[in-house]
Amino acid sequence: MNSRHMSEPPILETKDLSMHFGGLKALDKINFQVARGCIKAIIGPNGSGKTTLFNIITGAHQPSSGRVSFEGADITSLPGFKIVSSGIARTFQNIRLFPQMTVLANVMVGNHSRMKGGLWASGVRWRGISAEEQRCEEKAIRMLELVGFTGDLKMKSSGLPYGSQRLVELARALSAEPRLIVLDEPTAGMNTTETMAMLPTIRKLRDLGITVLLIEHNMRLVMGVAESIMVLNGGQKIAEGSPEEIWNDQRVVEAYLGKRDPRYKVACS
Amino acid sequence: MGIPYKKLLLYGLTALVISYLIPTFFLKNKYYINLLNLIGIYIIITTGLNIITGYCGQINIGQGGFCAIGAYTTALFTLHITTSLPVLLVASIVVTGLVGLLVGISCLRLAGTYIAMTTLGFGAIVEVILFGWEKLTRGSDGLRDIPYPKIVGSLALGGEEDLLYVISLITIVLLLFAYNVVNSRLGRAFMAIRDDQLAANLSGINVPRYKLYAFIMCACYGGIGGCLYLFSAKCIFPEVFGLDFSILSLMMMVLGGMGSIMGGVLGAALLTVSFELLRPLKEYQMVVYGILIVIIAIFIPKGLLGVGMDAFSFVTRRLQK
Repeated sequence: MNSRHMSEPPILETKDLSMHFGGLKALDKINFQVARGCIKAIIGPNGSGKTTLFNIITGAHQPSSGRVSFEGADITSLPGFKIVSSGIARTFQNIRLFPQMTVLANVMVGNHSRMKGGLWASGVRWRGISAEEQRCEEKAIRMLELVGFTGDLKMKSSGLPYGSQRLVELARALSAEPRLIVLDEPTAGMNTTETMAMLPTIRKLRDLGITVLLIEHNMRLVMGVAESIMVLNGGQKIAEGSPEEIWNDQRVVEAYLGKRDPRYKVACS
Repeated sequence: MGIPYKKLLLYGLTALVISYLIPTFFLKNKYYINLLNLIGIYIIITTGLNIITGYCGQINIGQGGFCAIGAYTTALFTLHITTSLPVLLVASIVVTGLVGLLVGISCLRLAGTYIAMTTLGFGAIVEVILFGWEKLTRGSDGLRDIPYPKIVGSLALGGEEDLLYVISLITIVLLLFAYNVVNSRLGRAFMAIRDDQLAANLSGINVPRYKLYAFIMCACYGGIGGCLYLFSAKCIFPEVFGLDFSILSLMMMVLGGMGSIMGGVLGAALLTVSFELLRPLKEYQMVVYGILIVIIAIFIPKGLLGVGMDAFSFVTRRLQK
């Protein structure tokens, strides 16, 4: 089902992507690729530019220079909503649900870009609108089941516990029928049980043919689920490779823990 | 689940029956019929306001401006061009829709309170123009002696009763339209924009476009309300739809329940009636309403309908236990 050939062009590719906030180089000439059908993780210490990179990919920010291409097409200057309709959906680090809307409505919003009904058609319930609404609702329920949400669909999303809110957000992103889903710390703030429940969910997405790109701090999750990892530090890519390679990479260890001082060699070992 | 056609049909039929029964009871009393007309008109105006403010979250303190434009467009068309009701309705919809588009465009890049200021300014500007452009609007003299419009051919409305049927029908149609819109892809887009614009954008919603839709819808509802008001009052002055009115319509929406079509209907009906009951208070009425709106905003932000629904579901849950 997810046959991956090295020869197949990458689903997402960045070319010399840079982002400057004033004098701060949040991202400095990032080149990376995401292969179709794989799970790729981006890790790095706080402030290393992970979320900035995600914001650029999903159209929330415009990069200072460089290019992002998705399935071969340049999406660098597209506004966020067009990037969604071209096939990339995302979740947020600090959950951004629509608090006053019900769980079901939140997920149905995700399907917006795949629906057609305009002002007139919706207002007079023109042919097909009711069927479209019905399909959208059924789909939303399916997506909520897929991510393992169990709870009241008619409840306002602000009343949900934190872990459930994450699931609803994931379901909302899935409703957009993405080919690439971008997850910004999908387990931030979750407890261990919830985190471990997320692991099979992420794999399930990949098995459905959705490419997954995620930022994650939880190393157990990253090492368990990711097939390829890119490490950012201070806006620069310092390593990229399989989980084993990254685990043993000296630069990565240094980025997280700092350099070992040779003078204390004895005491440390 | 799905679309509650039965519920909609029920609402529509109830409203129709009520609007046909009441005039037969009060046929001799034109006061009540005028009051009912006024309720219908305010329901339309409040519904428009609810779309932009209650659903889309863009605070509009200039609804009176749209109503005034609708009313004056209708008046000028009636006096100079035609008295055919469909044409007049279309004319006021087109003109207010265009104005709504312009106001919407100027509000696109603004947030929260700045939109409130812009729409407030818009309402004030409309009023000043209507006062000042004496050649067209006859300034503070207003436009008087507006005849009843014709429906088709030479079939003209005969009086308040006929107008009541027309207004009830238009109100129901517009309510159904609004109900359909807010329960569709568009309504969800409006609410998503109200709750979180960035998340809405990154969920695939073209935020500026849907804000403009909401503005245009709000303006058109205001315009239709203004158009019908003109035939109910048979005259129009610049100050009729001034700041007082804009605030009154906001109050109707907040009282009944923001972000709920039926809430707006409830608020419009209640305030129109209480406006009549409190008439002896004259200008002190506004003091009462001012205090009322503060109390509602602090203690029952969901509005009366929201509280009623909560109470209803509380009772039914108790009964089920």
